[in-house]
Amino acid sequence: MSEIPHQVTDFISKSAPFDVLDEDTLSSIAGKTKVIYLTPDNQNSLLKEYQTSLFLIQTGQFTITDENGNERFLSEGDYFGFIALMEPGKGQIEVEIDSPGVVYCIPKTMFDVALDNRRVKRFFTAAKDDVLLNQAVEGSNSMWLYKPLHEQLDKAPIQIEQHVSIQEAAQMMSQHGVSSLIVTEDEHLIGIVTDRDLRNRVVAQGMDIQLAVSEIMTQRPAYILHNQNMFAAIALMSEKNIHHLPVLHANDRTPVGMVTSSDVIRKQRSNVLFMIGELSKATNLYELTRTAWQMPQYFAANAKRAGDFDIAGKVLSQATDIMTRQLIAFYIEQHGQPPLGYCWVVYGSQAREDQTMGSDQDNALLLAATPDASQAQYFESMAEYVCKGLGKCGIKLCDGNIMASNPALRLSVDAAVLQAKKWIAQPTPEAILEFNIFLDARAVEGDRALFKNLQQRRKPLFKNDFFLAALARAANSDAVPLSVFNKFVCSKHNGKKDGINLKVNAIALINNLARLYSLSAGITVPNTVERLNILGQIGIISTEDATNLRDIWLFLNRLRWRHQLRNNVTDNIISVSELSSLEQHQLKASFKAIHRAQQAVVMKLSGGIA
Amino acid sequence: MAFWSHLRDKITSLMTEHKGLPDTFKHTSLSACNWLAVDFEYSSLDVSTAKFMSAGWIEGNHTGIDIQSSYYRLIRAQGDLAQTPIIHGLTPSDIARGVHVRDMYEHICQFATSHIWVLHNAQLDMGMLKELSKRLQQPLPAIVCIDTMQLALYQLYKKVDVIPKGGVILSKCRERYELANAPAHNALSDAMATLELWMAQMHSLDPSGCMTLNELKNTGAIKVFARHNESEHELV
Repeated sequence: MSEIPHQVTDFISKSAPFDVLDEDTLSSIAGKTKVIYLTPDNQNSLLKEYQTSLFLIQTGQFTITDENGNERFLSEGDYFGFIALMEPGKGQIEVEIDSPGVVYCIPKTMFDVALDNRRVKRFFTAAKDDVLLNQAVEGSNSMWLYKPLHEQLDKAPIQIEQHVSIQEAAQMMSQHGVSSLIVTEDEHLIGIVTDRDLRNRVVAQGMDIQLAVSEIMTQRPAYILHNQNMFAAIALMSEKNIHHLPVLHANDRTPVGMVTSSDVIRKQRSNVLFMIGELSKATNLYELTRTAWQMPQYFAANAKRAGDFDIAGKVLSQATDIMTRQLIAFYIEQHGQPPLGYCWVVYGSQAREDQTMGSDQDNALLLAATPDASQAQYFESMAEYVCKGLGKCGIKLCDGNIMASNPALRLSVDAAVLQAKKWIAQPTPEAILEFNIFLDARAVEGDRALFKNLQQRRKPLFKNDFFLAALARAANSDAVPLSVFNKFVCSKHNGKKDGINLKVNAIALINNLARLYSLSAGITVPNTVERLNILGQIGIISTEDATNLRDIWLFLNRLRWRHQLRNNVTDNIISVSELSSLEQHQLKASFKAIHRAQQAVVMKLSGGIA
Repeated sequence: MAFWSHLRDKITSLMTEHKGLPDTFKHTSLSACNWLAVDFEYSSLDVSTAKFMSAGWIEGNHTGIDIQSSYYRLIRAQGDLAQTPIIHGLTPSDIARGVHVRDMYEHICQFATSHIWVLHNAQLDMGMLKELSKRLQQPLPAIVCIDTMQLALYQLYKKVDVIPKGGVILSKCRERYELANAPAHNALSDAMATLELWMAQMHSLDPSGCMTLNELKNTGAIKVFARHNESEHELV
């Protein structure tokens, strides 16, 4: 009976990616492993002795310099030597022992056995290429929600001109096997006809089927643009309670497709989105608050899989948008139409669509002109009603008073442009802290043209070099919680010593980077994932970096939501011990990538002065 | 405390400790030695009645610890084992399935001259082994041992006058070298943990790897144990 010391199998089996291997494979690997105590005096002979091994650090701290002179500081749980094993002739390294320690040497034969496992191979391939494991996000069943619609529409729209008869329309639907048609005039959308219209408006009423289809179509239907994503389409369909949504090209508004509920049902396996539909059905403040208060329990009960965590922030932000629109509608019902053009604008996490259970409300009213006393009174009262209403729905009032109920946040477009000019004139660190939140903005209700106007006028201002340099320096002032030796820098939280604030020390840093590059490129969308996608597409940053940062952002958000929902908390401080070994590796890789991206942005936008 | 001093005296009286190293090892440098880290689990700490319940050992040398050399056996036992098996996580059927203590003894004695044995509290384990050799009516060849606990005491006394209770138990000694936590109460795991500790201690005593075994004698951590048939007190 030959045995292996428990601590050896324990350590290997808990070190990702070996944790995915079966017991027998792990035992064979452990059995062939040599354990060394690596010191400055024996390193030459030992590294030579085990030059065809994978090194897994159990204790100690080591500096590894690769053939390009890049240094990596490694400690427990880290690997080195795998590049030389995977790409013979490459991966020459120098090792400096900063603190001696126990290192496991896994021979190449056993490393090759481990590489037969797809997940192990991908781990080391990703580590070799210095990117976050795609599997951190590929497990998501919700990535399709983030893709633009035009990438997901699989067939051209079936459309007819308005003068075609009802019978011909029905024949065309039957022939193409579709449940709806787009009705056009000069190639532009003017209505839609659905199965239900044929049933309710034609058959049930005995209507003449030779009449023009325009007689029974739904006129001026809701639509969506081709460059928006499936999530926005679903949110709109849920909010309006419709089952067919025409997709128009963003440039010329010609129809390019149709999203139907059955398309959505085919792809959609998550329940968390249905909250949106429920909120839209509320007809008064009481019903709205009653539904809204069920959200935390609803999320906790329904968000089970990785993909649910990925869209939870978007769902919550959409839900807050709908609550806002509902509250404004209730207010208008009671107090009459607004006396002046207005737009309800949201900032920060709601604008970026990455709200969490702990997010508070950040909003403002943008007005078409400076209001007179009675107009001002109307909007003051509207803002009070909506902000307090959101509070009643569980969206916390903002401690920093960034709410439309604050008179300073009910500005005309001209005044808002002036305000932006002041930010640019004096971007001190204190001022940046104050106005940073306003740089992620989105219109939620009212006249969106006002908001668009403001964005267009602010866009060139924000490209100011000095302003961007100041923002880049500020963005670099917060560091990822990783020591030079690749160890997590933890803080105490709730009696545990291994807390990491994912929001402050990681997610916000990526938000800052995406915002900065977007401002420099004149991109006005506020969502971090969309910003990164665009930045990669237009070459402001490399596609690889954009994809990697996006994956990291999604991964971090997934960890944050899982933490909040599993533990029923609203904070962003996760415990390292909550994470699997693989997640700890991924988190470290993420932090390193964020750090590199921070350095890059400082080089690019502030001439290297951090 | 009285119990422990009594036990220590008894163990000491039961064994023979050689005064010097065998010639073959006298000038051997540490980097040229083969190591065998050894640990046993017993049914009690009373040498006269204790039974071996399990044995574990593992080999190492200047190139590291060879996991493939791991040995772990439960010892087949009869009679009252009191509560100890519970501590070691063994069931009576586990113990019944084990090897005979004689087989284990003969196996480990094969390492007597080829390896330096590494133990944490060698007095206890070698005292028990010596008692076993008497029971088995077998000689105990001269075995050169490194006692990592003694070495820890030597190093600590250079820094402090009083050593706190439990200050030299295996896990505490490992902590001082920032070695990872290791499971306790398993002979093989403890042997492995002891060998890692010895490697760390060796680095702190002799970073360049030039020291000989003889030069370590002043630490009190080098001991030679033997029992030649009935002559218990033979010294080298």
